Amino acid sequence: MKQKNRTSGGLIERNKPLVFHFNNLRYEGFLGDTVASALIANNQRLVARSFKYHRPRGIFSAGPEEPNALVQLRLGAHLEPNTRATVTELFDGLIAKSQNHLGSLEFDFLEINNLLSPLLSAGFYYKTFMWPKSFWEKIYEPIIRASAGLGCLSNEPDPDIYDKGFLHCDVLVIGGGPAGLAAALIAGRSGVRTILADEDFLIGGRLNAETFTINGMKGSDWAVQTAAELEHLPNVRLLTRTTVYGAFDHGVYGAVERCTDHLASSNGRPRQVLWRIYSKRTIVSTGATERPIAFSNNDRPGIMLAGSVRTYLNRWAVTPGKRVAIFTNNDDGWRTANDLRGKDINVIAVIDTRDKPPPFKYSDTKVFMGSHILDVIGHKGVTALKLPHGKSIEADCIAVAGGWNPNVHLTCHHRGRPTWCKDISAFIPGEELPTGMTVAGAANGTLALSAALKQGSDAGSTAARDTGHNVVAQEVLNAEDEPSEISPFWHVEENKKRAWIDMQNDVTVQDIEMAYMEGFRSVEHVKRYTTLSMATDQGKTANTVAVAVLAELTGKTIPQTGVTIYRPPYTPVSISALAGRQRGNQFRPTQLCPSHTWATEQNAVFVEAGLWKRAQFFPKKEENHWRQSVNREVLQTRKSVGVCDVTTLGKFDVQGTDALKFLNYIYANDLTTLAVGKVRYGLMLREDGLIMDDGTIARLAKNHYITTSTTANAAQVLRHMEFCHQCLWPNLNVHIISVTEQWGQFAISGPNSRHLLQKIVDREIDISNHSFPYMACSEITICNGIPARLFRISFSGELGYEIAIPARYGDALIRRLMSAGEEFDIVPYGTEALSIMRIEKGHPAGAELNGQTTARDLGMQRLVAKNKDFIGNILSKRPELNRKDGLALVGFIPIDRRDKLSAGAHFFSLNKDIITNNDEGWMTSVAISPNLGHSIGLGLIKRGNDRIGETVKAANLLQKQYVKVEIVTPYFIDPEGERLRA
Amino acid sequence: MLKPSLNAVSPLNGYSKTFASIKLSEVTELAIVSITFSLNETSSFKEAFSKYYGNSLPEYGSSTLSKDSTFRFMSMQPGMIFAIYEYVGLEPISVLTSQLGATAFFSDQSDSSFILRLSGKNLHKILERVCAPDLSNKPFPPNSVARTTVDHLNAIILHEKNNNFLFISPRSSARSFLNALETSIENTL
Repeated sequence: MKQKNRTSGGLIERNKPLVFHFNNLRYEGFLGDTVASALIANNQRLVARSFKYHRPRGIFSAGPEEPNALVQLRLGAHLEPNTRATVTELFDGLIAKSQNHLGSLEFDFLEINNLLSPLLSAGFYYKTFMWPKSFWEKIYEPIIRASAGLGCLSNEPDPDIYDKGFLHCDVLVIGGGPAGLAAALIAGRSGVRTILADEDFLIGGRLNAETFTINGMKGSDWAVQTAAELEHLPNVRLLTRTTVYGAFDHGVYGAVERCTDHLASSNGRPRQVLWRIYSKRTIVSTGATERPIAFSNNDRPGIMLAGSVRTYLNRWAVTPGKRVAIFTNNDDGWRTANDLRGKDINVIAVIDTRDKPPPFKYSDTKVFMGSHILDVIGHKGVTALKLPHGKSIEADCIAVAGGWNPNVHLTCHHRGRPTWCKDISAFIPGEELPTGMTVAGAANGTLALSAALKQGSDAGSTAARDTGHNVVAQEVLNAEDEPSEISPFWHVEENKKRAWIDMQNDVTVQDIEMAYMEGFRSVEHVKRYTTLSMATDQGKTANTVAVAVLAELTGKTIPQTGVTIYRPPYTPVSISALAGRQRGNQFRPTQLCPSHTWATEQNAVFVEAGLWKRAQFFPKKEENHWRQSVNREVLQTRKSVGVCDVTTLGKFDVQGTDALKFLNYIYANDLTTLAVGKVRYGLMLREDGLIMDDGTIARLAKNHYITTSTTANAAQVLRHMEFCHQCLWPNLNVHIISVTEQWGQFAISGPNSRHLLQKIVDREIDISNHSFPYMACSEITICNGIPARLFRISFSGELGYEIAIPARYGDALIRRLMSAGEEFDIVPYGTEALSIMRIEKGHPAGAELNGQTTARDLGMQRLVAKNKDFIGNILSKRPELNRKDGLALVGFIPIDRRDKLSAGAHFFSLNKDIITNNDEGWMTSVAISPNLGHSIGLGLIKRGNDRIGETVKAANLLQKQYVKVEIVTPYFIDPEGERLRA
Repeated sequence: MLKPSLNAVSPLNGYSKTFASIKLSEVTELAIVSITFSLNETSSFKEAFSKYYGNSLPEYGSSTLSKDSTFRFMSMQPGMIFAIYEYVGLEPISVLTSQLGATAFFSDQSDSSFILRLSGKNLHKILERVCAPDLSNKPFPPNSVARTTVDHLNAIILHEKNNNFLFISPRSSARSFLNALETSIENTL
């Protein structure tokens, strides 16, 4: 018979039947079911195997606290492991499979672990599998690792899309149960910009699980009515299927909205949206989670939380058993008995640990007050329970009511500690809450309905007032205040068998006892040693019971024992949701140079320089190795002319009557002699005297400068300049703005560079060597009046210029240059050729300016001004940075010209061992010079300038290569600089 | 005078697309010029500003239009405003220097950025996928301006008028930015 456990009523849509598969067996359910409720309806009790011992497990709860019923959903690339069946909405065609078994769910070969349980108790990996030592790495650890973990991944990219968003509100209400609805209602009616978020797909919280009435109406109906009113208010936003998983700084909350998880397919819509919610006030009305009582074999399928049994009965119209026993230490367990009896379900017994008269008298239910359950019978499902004095009762379901734990998780996310409330024998939110947060309802320890509604209304009123709104009058909400007396009873002391506390990580009372015996006292240590509460359920049903057991062992009270606190996320958040759109090509933004389109047409090979894509080299069809292309570019540039897009370098417009003064503070050079129309190489030091960056300073007019930086440091340099201006010298009349993007900039290098430029600059511009010498700069026009800036500077060592043009003309300019340069056999060159040429010329770059070097190390001490103060001045004079035997940048060539040099190799004298004490420096940059025909390098070596001609060894310890090298001048090409000044 | 012999190319080649009732299009004929003035010498600048544009300087986080609506001035930070205006030519700064003269310093930013206009109804659902600031009407009424980031890209957002927003972002990452906005629209349709 299908759905044999289905009863009447419920909040499901019986006119919408659904078909799903669990472990390849076909089942039926209804719209509104979860996978768990549908499995219970079909009497599927066994749903999982436990993590360590592979014990048979059934559905334990009805919500996100579920520790057992973790299933694998969907197939192929959409496969998702470790999904809680209790919160997974059923849809037509759903495919679910059980996890963590070798063989079938019914016959799991790894259940042998249960027999080996004495060897596998908490912390076993510290105590067992120790001998022989060699077995650990090769046998024990691989086996343990292979059997650890839950579920498996598809190993395919997630085909769904995910998104992120930002929401703002005056009041965020977290939890749409009675307190939350009451709070949102009054806030919404008062005109407050309100967001109400609930993790469930049906708003109402426990109103949907109980038989409460509010104002004479069914609780679930009141929830529907209230939600409808809220949805119609323009200032209220309802987010269902949305879990607020974390409370972050400054009133920011993280939430995941599951948009299409309840559908067979996302159909191109984002599957989940990760929201950052910015709220001025927050009301946490997240309810409470029931906890069990630990007794022997209390993990068998069919043993569930009593409140969850009610939820299945009232909301989903299913009964987990036909002969149900209740085991309780409080009044709430009796409510389950009443609700079951109300649906004609046989409540075979109520076992209440309290020694007092029973709150209800039943004629056909055995009642045992002051008693407890000793053990259960049944392997893949409970069949009977054992009481003291040899009594045994047949039952196929045991509903356990151990009390309710307020869901304090979000209140702990700023390290607030919950406090113990004796009245309800549970932890409630502590004094220190995240700023702007209040707690209402069961989450605050107010378990009774009427009181929870009132507290929610009060919280909503206060939040409305705090955010500057006139608060409407509170509506009176008449509801019962159900009895909730509890007498703490955590575990049955006569346990002869293992009694479970943390179902998901297989942690028992005995594990806690053993940890205590082994000397662990602190709850933090016990947690980590036993792995209690460290599974994906964060110990929602286990934590408090464990603390109580530890307290008994140590002889302390529960408050004295303390409790571990919770961290985000409240429930698991998929990595895909966190990644959002940042996947594949959208992982990070891309910056394109003005010549990118043209370069792509030339089949350029690109390299990433930060976010920029720069042309690395331009291969021709006949070339089949990159070095052929690069060598060609280098040789042709040095022979005739080459062009390279250098837009990416940082460019900053500095203007003002105090611009010179400012620049003199931040650069080491003396810039007072920099005339209008001249450009100078500049060094920027850090406060500690080491080089931060290098670049150029061009003076376009009396109070107008353009400074440049390296590509990599552009943002850092601008930040530094802004800091200096805003914080160090705020009174200087200087204005800085980035123009990196404003100007497309091209380096034109080679003996024919002037001839090429003369074809594009407007006729009236004189760029002869006499009128425009080396290190000149000017604002010019090109191509009939297009404004441009020309700088005669060279990184390549050849006669060279850099021309800057508004970026909109960048594409047109590169095409014009290539066309005009045809008569000179112009060649475009990329970053590889650029790098080789600058190494040949001995110009330092990033590898030499790595934050460890000084001007003196790089042979630039003459650039550093002696007659002014500037950032880095004082500390650059430290004796250790000015040692006579300090590092110096020099060149290196292999003694055997066939040898290749390695960047990063360290230098040692020939007669010294290769050990740290003998380390004399390192190779910073290397290249194979097409001009010289062999490998060359730049590097820093002690007393380098005094050792020209000496042979040392360069040791590449990673590849174990040792090359003899000669120390030479770093200027491999044109050491006198004649080409530059041609 | 001869016509310039290089053709200008906009970062998104004049992109324009309609998604249901939403339109996203590149704006190409606007100049952007940064105007900075010394905090110690604002009075002469304010005087010139008021004289030529018939309005006072915008407050931080907002923009103002000149009396003839030709210029919009956005307040970016203390001592700096951005001027946006229709301009086709080679010297956008010259328009402002002729009016404000030596009271300020100017830097052409027309090519630093590209501009996208988002227009249509119910834009808030798209905007909440775009960036962190609250861009709804109450905290961000028309003429408001904010500097923020969109998918890690710098952006200036201007609430131009009801149901119209301008996004101004660095030119080099235009394609990535466009992708971010398109994705926001497509994900909310």
